[in-house]
Amino acid sequence: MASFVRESRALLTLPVLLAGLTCLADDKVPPRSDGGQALVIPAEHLELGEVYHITPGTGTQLMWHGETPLLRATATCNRIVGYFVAPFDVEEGQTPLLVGAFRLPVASLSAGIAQYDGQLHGPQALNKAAYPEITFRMTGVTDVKTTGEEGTRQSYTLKLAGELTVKDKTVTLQIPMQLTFQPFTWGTMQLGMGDRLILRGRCEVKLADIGLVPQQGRSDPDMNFQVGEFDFYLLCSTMSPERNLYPDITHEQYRKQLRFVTLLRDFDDPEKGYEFGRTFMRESWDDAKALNRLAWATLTEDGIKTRDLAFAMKAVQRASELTGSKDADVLNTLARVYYEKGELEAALKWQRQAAEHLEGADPQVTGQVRSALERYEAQVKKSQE
Amino acid sequence: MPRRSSSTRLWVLKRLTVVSLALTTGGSAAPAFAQWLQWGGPNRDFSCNATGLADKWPEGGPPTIWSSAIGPGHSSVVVDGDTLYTMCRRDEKDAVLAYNAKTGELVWEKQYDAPIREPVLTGFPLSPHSTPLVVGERIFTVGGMTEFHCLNKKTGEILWSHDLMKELGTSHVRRGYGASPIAYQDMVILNTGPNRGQDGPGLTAFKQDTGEVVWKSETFGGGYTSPILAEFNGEDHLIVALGADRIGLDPSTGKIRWRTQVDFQSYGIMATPLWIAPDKLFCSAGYGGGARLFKIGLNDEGEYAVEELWHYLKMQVTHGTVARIGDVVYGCHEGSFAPAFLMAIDLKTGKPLWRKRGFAKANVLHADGKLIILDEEGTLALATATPEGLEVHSKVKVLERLSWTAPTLVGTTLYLRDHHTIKALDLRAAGDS
Repeated sequence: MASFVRESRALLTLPVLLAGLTCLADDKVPPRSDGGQALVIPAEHLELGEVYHITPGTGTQLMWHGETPLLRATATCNRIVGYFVAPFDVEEGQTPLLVGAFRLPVASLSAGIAQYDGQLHGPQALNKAAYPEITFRMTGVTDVKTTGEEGTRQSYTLKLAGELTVKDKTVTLQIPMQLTFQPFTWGTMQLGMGDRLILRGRCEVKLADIGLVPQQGRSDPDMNFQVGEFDFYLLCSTMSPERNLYPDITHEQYRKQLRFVTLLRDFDDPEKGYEFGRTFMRESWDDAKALNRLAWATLTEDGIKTRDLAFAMKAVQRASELTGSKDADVLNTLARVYYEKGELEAALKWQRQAAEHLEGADPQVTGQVRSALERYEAQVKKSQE
Repeated sequence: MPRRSSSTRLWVLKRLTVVSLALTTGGSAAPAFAQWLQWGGPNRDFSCNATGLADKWPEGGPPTIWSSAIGPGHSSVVVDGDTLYTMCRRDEKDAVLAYNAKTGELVWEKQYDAPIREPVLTGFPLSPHSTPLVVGERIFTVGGMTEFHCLNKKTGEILWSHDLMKELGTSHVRRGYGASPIAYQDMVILNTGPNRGQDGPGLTAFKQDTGEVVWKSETFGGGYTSPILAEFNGEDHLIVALGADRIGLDPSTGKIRWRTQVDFQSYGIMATPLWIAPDKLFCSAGYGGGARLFKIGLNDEGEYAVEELWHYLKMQVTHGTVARIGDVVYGCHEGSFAPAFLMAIDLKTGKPLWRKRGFAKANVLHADGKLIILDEEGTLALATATPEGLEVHSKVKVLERLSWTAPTLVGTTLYLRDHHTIKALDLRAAGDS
């Protein structure tokens, strides 16, 4: 948020171009891509201009706030995926935002309190099982004003019109937002690559309008939220979250790895996630690196609630077999599985073996192996005291 | 004050320009005009005067004349008669390779020790990126770790060497040295810039026969960009874009003739500058830099002066090539790992004329009224580029990721390589022989 600059320069009111563009948007939110971290952007949207993908995982994208005299709660989410399309060069009088849409996995909304999360995701509230996603589709833009220009950064205020769909209810919103275009700089590189678009705004939604009504017998207005405030901070980038930057990973492998993680982390769906993972494991049975990545993600990917250690063990043992137990990266993962299983001695044994095979290893792997070895040694020593 | 001496550039061009060697083609597509002796081709601008190219390729792509194994590397191919030269990595060594250009048979390979010099950025191959230069009987090469060699082109024997990092403080810019040498008179000139903030010559000229240092320039920012030569105001200018500097030097002495600086954001990886005769220079930098057109002129005192005519942010060519046709420059906006766009920019206005999706980050080459496009996914295309748009006639996958090596066209034979394979493709129109 600190990067959001509001310039006090004279406001230039741009003509209102709104809803003519509505016709450019189709009436459905596009599906997720194969990797699950972006949406399949319709060809007609690609023709309009520059695509900015919402960047999940880098910060709080949504704060959903409710308050009553006796209760206050905030749920947050950082797994929204979607896109907005803007003109390549925003000319004076041109609307800076053309089309857009996003999907929010219900399972990724968290109040930080397990009981609340259970209620929020449960059948009485958002009903994650029947309606796994909340969606938004932009329908237009009004009240565009230029608010600032600093170097290559340009800022606007506007009202973003769109349809928010929760369960089977759709509500029309007009969200006052601040829009900033921040082309890539050596400074923004800290956040990642690509040019940036930041959309920041908030609105209130009557919960009854999106089908969230108090449970029977719990209609005390002091204890039940009537209105939810949605506070959005959508950091977007021209670089897709599914861009594969690794020369040694095929695009297909990369997408499958993303899909596996998306199912486990974003949707908290271990059944589908590990089912997909088992298929991926079978397909990659002779590919040590792919198997190692699968196991490592299972063990370490932030936000996964159900970590199937047997699954990770099977993948990494095969990877170890394929590499003759001589690959430091694979052995590091193998040791980590034992560590997560609570088998400290075995973890230490394999970690020591990993440390013996560091010649030629990637510096990042070398660092991981050494720091894990120190940790395991310290814990084994402590357990023996 | 600029010198008004007569140009000696023609002497260089005669040695580097395409000449007919009247080779026997024996019915294959081996080129009749068989020279591409340096990075960027005869004029270092990825345009050449080849004719007789097919307007469209067969469905499976242009016929493969030959295909051979090669190691990792982005070094492009130079062709001298019936021999081609390039470089690759062999474990802890670099290798200079000579192949038979007609058959793909390896003629000789010269390996030398080139251990990794920290600090390096991993994740992408650190293999040789620089393209060899052929002059007369010699070939000049620079490895990824800055080992500079002069070799006998017939045998691969190393005639003399310099360790640029050790002797001159040259940076390999953490990803491996990438600039390609250029010849001038009896010299070969290299980027030898140090790491930012350190001292060392930005460029250095060496005698071709002995390797003796002829001159060292001032310090400029480091970089991967290859220098070019241009003639202006009756003088030769060695032009280079390094760091934020855009510079013209006297290639005889290394003294600066003119210099301008751009914003720090344009410090990143840059395409080879493109001279737009008689007096303009097109430069493009990736990673937030954008494209610029400069006009070189003389002020009232008769001194060289540089004026920036325009800057367009959203044509950022990182390490790809650009080609000029008339008043339009065509190239690939590479967008800091965002989707790439092939695009055209109007040299007169600095405005984009069109953009086209459908290619990954790409190199372009202009010949026979056509644009040959090779993207990093290994997709090769034949297209017609006009100010109105890009008409793609054929498109086929011919190489693997990451195909960053710029293509080489000699006659109607296109030479390509990735990290595993080097190949020659026949681009002749059907029925030609």
